[in-house]
Amino acid sequence: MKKLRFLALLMAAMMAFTAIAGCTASAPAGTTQPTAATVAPTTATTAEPTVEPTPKPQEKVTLMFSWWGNDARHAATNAAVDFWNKANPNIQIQTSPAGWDGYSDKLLTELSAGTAPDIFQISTNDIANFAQKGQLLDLTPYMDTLFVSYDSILKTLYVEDNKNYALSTGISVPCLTYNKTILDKLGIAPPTDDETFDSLLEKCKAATKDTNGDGKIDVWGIEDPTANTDFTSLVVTQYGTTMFAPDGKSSKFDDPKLIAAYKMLAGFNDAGVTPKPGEVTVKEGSSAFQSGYTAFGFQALSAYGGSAGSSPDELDVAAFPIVAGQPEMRVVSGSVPMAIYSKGAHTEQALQFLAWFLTNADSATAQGAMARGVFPSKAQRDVMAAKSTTDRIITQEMRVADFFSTLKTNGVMLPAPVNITEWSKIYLDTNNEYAYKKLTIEQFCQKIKELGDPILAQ
Amino acid sequence: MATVLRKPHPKARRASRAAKMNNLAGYLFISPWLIGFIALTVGPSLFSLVLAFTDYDYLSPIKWVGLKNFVTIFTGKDYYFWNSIAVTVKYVFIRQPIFIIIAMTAAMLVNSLRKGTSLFRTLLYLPAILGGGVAVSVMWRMIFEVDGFINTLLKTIGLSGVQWLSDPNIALWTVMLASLPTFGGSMIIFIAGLKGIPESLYESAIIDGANGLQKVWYITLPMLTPVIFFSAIMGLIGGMQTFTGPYVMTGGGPLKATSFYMINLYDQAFRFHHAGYASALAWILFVIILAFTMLVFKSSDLWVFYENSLSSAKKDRRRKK
Repeated sequence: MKKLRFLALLMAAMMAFTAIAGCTASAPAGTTQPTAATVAPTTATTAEPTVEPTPKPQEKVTLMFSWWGNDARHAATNAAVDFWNKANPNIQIQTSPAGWDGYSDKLLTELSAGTAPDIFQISTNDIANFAQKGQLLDLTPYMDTLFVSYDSILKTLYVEDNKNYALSTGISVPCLTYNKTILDKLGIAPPTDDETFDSLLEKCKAATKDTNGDGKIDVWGIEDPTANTDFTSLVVTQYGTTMFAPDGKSSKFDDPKLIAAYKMLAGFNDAGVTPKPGEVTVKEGSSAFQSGYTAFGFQALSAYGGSAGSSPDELDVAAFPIVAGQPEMRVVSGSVPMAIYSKGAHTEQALQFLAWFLTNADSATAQGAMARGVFPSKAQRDVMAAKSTTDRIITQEMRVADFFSTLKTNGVMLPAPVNITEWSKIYLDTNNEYAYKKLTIEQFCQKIKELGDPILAQ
Repeated sequence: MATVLRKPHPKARRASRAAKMNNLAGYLFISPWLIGFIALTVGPSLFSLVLAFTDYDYLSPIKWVGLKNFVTIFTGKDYYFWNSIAVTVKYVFIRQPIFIIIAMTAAMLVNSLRKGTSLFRTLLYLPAILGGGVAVSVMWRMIFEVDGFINTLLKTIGLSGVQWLSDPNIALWTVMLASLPTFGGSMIIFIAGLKGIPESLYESAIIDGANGLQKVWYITLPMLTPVIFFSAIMGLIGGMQTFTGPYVMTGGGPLKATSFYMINLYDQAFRFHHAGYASALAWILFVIILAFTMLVFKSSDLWVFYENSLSSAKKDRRRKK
């Protein structure tokens, strides 16, 4: 009996020990021990970043590089990383590609735990927030050295307190995309790079049709142009104002110029050239244009490549429309930005890799495709120019990018306010009320001002 | 006469030691679960209670703000709070009775079968195995889309489609409908409850001339009230925490028609990075669920029948009065 009791106690003790051992994971050799997830280790700081001294030639460092995207982007980026790793045996890059879903959540957790990748792609909505909290390396000191051949116009993007905290991975001007097949079928002339909103409205009216004879409209002109602030902000800029105050603590939805811009865009809905809410099924991550329901669409150049690639010969792209009667105003925006973790162990090496990735011709050659919009340096675009004779999509993208680069661009995209994600939810829900005709466009602007400003002021 | 304290008998001392050893063995055996429960449930719950009184965004130091989060919630500064409560309560108090009725009806039907009982029980239980996870919710979304399976079927027979997920007046009902096929688990419990009803009661009823409906009303339902009570409590607790279905199917829209409490909590915690505020929301939800649960428990004296229980004796006394 005593023996049985002893054996039982021994078994129980072993089980308890296993449970305790399982709860405390020990770090494998050669890696850093992650900090507890409940600890908030950082304080907001504006101190200059500390850059590691150049390592001795035989010292090998390994950097972690993460991004989100589709298979094409993963393949292109991995190809560039493989090229770099072969050429730089002392600075090895380990990749961690992912899909968009959950990427920002995972990055936030890693930043909170102090285990963030050394170089990472970052959502534009997160730049202000993470920069304010000292998580992103200030790249300003390196703009005229490592990033000297990076497009100067893109250097004006993602600036917080006059400092560059993230760099766009490509030129991604907003565009007017159109479905050539639908326009040809309906005898509508394709848009030009000087298309105005007035002429676009006329074309949309001509394109809104019942094409299958069932008595219901099945092709519309364009999706609701008031729904996406990436594009409404450009129209607002053309009207001579901005969506947010320069300090990002309030919006300008009581500005008569902004309201006039929204009224102009609302004219498309009033004309019946946009599908009503729920009238069409849009695949997740897609748009009514990409799903084939509208003849025209607004799209970022960096996203155009992906959608056009799946519809060969059907889609084409033109410059974003201009507002007739307003001073000509064009705005360049960027593609997905990348940043460097300010608390990484090897920020100098991370900077070297990022500079190579964004400016070096070998990087473009290795990638073989513009997976994040048109390349942000001339040397890389020259590599693509050689390919553009055989690749229709590259030709289209380069044409639009060149168009913008020759313009006197006078519109500056202000960085997104800190609480832009929460503000955007209010915007979308209120825009929904407008779309369901619960609000007029003026009431919509007023409600955004009332509900959104307290969030921006936090 | 002085009381002499005697030393315990050696045999009694051995028995006490043996009992202590048994207790120790018991605690050691449950220690893996106990350690996990304390470390992964109690600990984080207490931490979230502390967080509810703070402003914390995962990257900055935790800042104590006292009751500020609760003031924000109850003074209407959260645009989504009251609507989310209304949507969630409406969902629970409409969906759960329907769910119980379906599960009970299915259980009675399966229980009354002479052949194929196992087959039908398995078939009706299968959807419960799939559950209401993300994949199933995506499937439901595809079924209820404007040009999804249901509308295609309707159009085939000459009817116009319905905006199942994009009409604010219909979307919540669609989400409820999508959650009903998982009644299998409750059905199994009801079947167990039905099997526990003594046959003698039905025999007496037959002798008294009761028809089928009367047997159900006067015998089956009262005898099943403990199972109904259990199902109601579990459904209430689970229903108030509904998240996956509406989040995947509608994202909280259209026009906040399916903006459940947990969706708001998720957004606050993980999209807007307001961990302290989200913790306050979580504890308010806990209090709401506790209040509703206590209400149901209190009401159970009036309608739950336990054979040979104090509760049924109390009811008898009341009837005599």
